[in-house]
Amino acid sequence: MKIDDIKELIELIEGKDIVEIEYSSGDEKIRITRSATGAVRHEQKARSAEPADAKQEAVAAEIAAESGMVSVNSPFVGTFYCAPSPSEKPFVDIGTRVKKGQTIGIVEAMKLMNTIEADADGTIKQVLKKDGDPVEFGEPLFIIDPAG
Amino acid sequence: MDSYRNAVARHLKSLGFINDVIYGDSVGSTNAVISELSRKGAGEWTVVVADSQSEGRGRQGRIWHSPANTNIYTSFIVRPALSYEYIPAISLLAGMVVALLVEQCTGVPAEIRWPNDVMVRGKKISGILLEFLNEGHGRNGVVVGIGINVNADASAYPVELAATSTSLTLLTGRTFDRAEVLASLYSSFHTWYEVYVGHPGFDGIREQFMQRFKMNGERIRVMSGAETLTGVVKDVDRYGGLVLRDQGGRMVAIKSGDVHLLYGN
Repeated sequence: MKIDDIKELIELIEGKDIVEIEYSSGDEKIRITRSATGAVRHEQKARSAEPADAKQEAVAAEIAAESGMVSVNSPFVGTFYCAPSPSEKPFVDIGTRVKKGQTIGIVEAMKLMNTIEADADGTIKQVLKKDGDPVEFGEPLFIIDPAG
Repeated sequence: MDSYRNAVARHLKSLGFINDVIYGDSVGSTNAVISELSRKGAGEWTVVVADSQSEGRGRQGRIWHSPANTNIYTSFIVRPALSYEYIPAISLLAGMVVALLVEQCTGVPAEIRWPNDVMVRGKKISGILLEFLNEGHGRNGVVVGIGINVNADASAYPVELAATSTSLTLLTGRTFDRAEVLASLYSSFHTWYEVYVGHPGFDGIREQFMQRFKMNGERIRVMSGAETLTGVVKDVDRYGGLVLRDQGGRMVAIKSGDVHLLYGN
């Protein structure tokens, strides 16, 4: 595989809502994945499985959708913060009652701070990311139970 | 003598694109004021200017020292009709515009440290923090908050900041008319913003940005929350991400984090 081919594959997923692509040609195989700190990484050999955390989050989001709960997702690739600053308390914890529009987290990308707001009145059922975790576009951050 | 309040209103309203100017002698933070106004429906290019801030903040809640009668503290709102991936690099655009302004005022070359720190002779001269407002119904706003050290002398800063901060006055020995500098800032930002939105994205401002970006080839450590990554800076990508070659030889595009220079091996 030529370097230009790899560049082309990276360009395919850059800035798009694609977490991972795999491409095979003859004996060669390449997998390109988005990873930590919003990075695009490419490996010449395939990984055996997705990280367990990613699976758990996907499952949590599915459960949320099926059970009428609300999943609050990240609008950007960036870093998740659960508090306004490292010395302050988290905006919310599991069990916190929230109002629609209430600030429940922050996602930062390149000093652009995006306030994450509750999409519904309810109770925080799950906090899917830890302070400082890298997050992807569209990735679930919180699960809110509107009936809670 | 013209007050700062009157001079700000006169200079900014002479720029045709400014929608409204809100001035405060002392506010908590100009970003907080404009965010609140935006939620109440303030239009694009509504501008907030303060003589001082009691709660000027940088990234991660860090304090931005904001004494009165000295510097520029301003925030404004734009509503770019851009897809999400092009929004964060408006942060780099703001840094580039401030770098150009500093050079225009002082004649001294300015350097941009990713994503938007403007450094002159190794010292920081401005602080820039942006906020993205998702206002629903497909309506998005970007608040751009800019602080520029204008007429601050060494005594204006606490000791711990004096060693790492500079100002237009410290660089030239002159006193600047803050309202005039403010008008130049807005005029330049508007021009480059139109280029950015029309292109769209970082490639439209790449040439001017990269002329002032001296990090290529530098070995750095990026600390982003819980994660630390070490590598050599190779480029800035089309979405404003910092491209590194990491220790495993992989090319990685960084979207956020504290960047620390590493010297030697």
